[in-house]
Amino acid sequence: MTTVVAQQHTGAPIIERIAGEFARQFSTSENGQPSLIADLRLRALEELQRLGIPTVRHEEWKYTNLFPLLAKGFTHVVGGAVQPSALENMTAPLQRWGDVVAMYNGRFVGSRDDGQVLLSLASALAADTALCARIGSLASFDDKAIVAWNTAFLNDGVVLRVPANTTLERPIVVASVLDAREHNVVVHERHFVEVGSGGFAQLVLVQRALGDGESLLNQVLEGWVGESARLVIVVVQDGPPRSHALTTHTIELAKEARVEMITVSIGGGFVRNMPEVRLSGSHADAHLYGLTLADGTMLVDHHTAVEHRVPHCTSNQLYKAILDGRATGVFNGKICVYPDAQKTSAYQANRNIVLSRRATIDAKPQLEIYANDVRCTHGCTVGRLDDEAMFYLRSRGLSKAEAEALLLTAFAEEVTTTIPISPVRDDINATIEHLLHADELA
Amino acid sequence: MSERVESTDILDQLTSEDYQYKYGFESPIEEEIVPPGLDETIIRMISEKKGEPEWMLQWRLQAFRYWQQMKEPHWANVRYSPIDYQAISYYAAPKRSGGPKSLEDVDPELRRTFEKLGIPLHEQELLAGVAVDAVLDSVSVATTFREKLRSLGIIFCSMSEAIREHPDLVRKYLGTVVPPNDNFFAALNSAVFSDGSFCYVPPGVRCPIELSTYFRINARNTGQFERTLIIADEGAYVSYLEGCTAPMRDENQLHAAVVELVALAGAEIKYSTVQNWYPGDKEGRGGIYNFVTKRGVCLGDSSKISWTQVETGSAITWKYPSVILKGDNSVGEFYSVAVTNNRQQADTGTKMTHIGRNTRSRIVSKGISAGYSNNSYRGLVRINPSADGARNFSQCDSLLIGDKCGAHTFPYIEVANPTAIVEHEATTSKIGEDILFYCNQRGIDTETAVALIINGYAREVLSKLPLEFAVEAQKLLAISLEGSVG
Amino acid sequence: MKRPILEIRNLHARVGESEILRGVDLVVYPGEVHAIMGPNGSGKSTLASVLAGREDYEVTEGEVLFDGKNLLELSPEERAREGLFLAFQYPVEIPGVSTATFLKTALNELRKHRGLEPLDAMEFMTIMRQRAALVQIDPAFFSRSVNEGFSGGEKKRNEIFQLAMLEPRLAILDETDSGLDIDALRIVADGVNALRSPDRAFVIITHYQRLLNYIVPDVVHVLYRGRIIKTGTKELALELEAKGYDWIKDTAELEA
Repeated sequence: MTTVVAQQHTGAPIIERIAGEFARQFSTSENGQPSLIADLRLRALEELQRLGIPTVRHEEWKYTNLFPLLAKGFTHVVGGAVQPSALENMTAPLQRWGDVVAMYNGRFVGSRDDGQVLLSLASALAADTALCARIGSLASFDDKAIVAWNTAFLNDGVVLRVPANTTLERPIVVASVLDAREHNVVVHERHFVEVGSGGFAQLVLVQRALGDGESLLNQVLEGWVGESARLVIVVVQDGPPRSHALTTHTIELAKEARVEMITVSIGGGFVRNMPEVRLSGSHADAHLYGLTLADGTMLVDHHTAVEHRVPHCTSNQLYKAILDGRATGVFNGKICVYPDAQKTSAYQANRNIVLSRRATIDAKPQLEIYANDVRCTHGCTVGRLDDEAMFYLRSRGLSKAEAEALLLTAFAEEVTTTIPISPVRDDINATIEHLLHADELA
Repeated sequence: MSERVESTDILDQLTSEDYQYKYGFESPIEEEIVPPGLDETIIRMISEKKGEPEWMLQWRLQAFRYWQQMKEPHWANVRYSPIDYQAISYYAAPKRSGGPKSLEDVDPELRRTFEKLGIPLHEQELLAGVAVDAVLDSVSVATTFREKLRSLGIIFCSMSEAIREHPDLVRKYLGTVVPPNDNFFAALNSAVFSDGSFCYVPPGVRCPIELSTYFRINARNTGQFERTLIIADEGAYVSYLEGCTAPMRDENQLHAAVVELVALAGAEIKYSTVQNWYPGDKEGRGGIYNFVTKRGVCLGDSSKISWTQVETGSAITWKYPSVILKGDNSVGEFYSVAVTNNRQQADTGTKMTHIGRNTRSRIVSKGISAGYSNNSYRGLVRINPSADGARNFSQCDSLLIGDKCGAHTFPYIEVANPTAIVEHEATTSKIGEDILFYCNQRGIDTETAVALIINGYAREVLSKLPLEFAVEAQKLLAISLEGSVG
Repeated sequence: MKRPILEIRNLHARVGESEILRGVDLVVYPGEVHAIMGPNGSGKSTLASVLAGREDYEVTEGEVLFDGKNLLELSPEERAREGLFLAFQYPVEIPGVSTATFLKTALNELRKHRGLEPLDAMEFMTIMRQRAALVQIDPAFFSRSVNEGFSGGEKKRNEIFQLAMLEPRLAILDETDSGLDIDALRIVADGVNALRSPDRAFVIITHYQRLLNYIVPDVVHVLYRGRIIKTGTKELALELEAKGYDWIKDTAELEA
């Protein structure tokens, strides 16, 4: 017990353990990897050692305590042998969403690597030094412990390169399978997405857990969206309470580019999402949506950052949460408008419903504005269901529970309707309806 | 209230006069200053000079020990060069033999200073309806209306006097709202506070006049550490005005005041501030560092505390007048206008902590940034699990004038009760070109138009000020933005 | 012979890339009421904006004399102080600024320009009450924020009220009749008629003839594609109403 307390103060033992695993993993398997990457890993580890594990005293982690999660003790794993049928069983239902690429414990598996549009990061890095140099240029690990941790263990991931003026008809579904049958595992994934000018791609990121152990996914994605191109990313977090996630998805938009990122967090134990969008070309347009549906002891933290770096861009954020049980919801949404980023229009809304006496919501919407000709607004509300609407529905014969489920479903669907991939949207809506009505039965 | 505003608007001239920093002078008064530096000896010296009882000295020493273990906080969105706490002189008092018994006893030089400041210390006060407890540097020099207030059982005096004359009340409440170890600056204040105001309004009494204090920083390199304590007993009401002016100087001056408000059941305290301390010159040289801890507690049921502030001065402002809503059905309010121009920096806002049932809070913050300044709103609304039916509404707007300034909003919202309703809205924008053109077309030049628009923008807050303050505040807004529109 | 209050010669103006006024000529004498009619997009509102000095418009050619002075080199507020008033098509809202404060500021700026002492609050209130009666404005408006939460009709009446307060030499009414019901239209027209004087001229910009039933113009101009293509008496307005703008367009195209 005392050791845990000590850890909470310094995190040093955790860092020590990570460094040990680093030494074990990379002294033996360094061959084949370009030295650029080996060097990057080492620098990332040093930065992680310098920063330590962020405590709640760190402003960006004020409401989200990593220590109870990390105290579970996770073993770093990469790849490993797995029965194809086991993977097949997990990923088959996802086929209706798009073309599935499976990542097994952070290792790209299967035959999807076409050497052109869709590749494994490991093979791409081996062949392409230019790519090596770009890794980390968007998702820098400076002052970011989680990205540093991920970069120190950078191994594999998905590279998606959509040529100019090309539309990928089918969404790419990246299924991250974490195998915790033997012990608690932590897995680092690194993805790289580039949509050429005028191109269009849709990406679905979903996490699956094998076994009864705890699993933690540390996923970093760097994405460039070219001129007039469009990228859709849907993140589906619907795992069991023993499945945890730290995601850092950093997107840069060129002129007139558009990104839509929709994060649906309706399952899992500890979930922290850090989407970041840089609007670097004029008339770029970013849309970030998130939904939290949390019960039990779930913690879901949406930590967004939208940077308006040039004039004439627009951004829109909508994050909603329904919190029950002993769940904790966190929203930290930042809009930063750079000097001279005139004519910026930025909008952010955060709406929360707390259903239980033991659930909490902590919200910190932030505006940091250094240009004057801008229109920026944010709104944040915490409340319960509208009494009027409840009464209206009950006066039409609905039970209290039915009325509540109906209104909550409608509340949640404002976010899910923004998912442009209809099979994904339909499945998620069905899950949400099921979750909300399960409460009603209970 | 709206009637008042109307008459203010109509009767008061809004045209900006040529109004230099009117309070930028120094008055050559003989002062007694202790050598710079801070240790236990200095604290003992301060306590001894003020003739304090042993418990007060011990209280100060304890605070000093806390302070020694604390670090200066740097989380606010402000930048300034390091403060050398050992270079500050912690006590300055006008030289005198015994306390002044009446106005005639007051040093004539001092009285001329007050006249220049426009503090109504003579008969006009009666007409103005204002009782003044004037603080020049660190010692209370004169108070008026004492007799009238005393007949109602209201105690309004300097903190030093309260420590001597009303030790039971002081001991009961001092440090209960802002404990000596609350934060770095509060600890420093607790150790070295020089003087300040004390007010106690007995049960059921409505204080018939606006109580007011004028602060003034005068002695060179003398930190100001005011300590104010206001207690409204059950069902009592008091409105308190605090106005600040400071002379022009080159060195930065630290000001770390502590204000504590206690409202018992059914009581109401209204605390209004117009702050126009020297903000430094156009390049940001000089100016006051204003690091203040202001907090009120709605201790009893159905009590109410309302903070209203108009902040135009200081080089750096760092203050968060807060309310702890402990009593059921209690109400906390915060109305703020903060203007920054040139190189000024302000990080200001409020904290509303809801503990009691059906507690309500309202936050209206209007930030205006111009020049190269940075203006941040930082606020916390916390709904504790016990605060059933709590409600909060916050509106935080920022207006930018010019493209070299910054406006920032950092609201923290923490809700742990399913029956609470919290709403927060914030907008950032500039003055619309179309509005400026409309004003121009009516013959109003751009600078006057901006003053007009700013006053309109801040109206909801200004309307919460007592009339005489509202007039001054309107002028201040116009003055502090002069030259910001090219 | 009286001197014209307004002389526009060969005025060309553009916004961005597109030229909107393409050689406008117009002479207005004190005491006259001119109506400028024309289809949508003909440049009517641009003309009003250019005269008032809106910065979005660039004058590329021509000149405008106001009371003999070069109007185009004056800032918007100088034009206003010289006695040019624009009743806006879309009056803006100024949150928190009462109509009284706004008008007192404006009126005292005008007085300062004319070398007069500023009015004190009591004198100002007296004038305000008197002029409010003229345009049937409820004194409750004085303390309301300028145009904030006003209906369309209230906003237009407020423009005429301001006109009455500021007593300009030349008043330009930019589509003041749009969005008004018949009662509001009559109130606005009555106000304007009451303000007609031998020293004051009006330029009434309108799409419809309706307003001209109540404010009888001395001259009617038709503006089309940035030029005045026809000038006549009040009967021209009636003819336009009866035949529509297509009639005049056809004429114009024939001439072109």
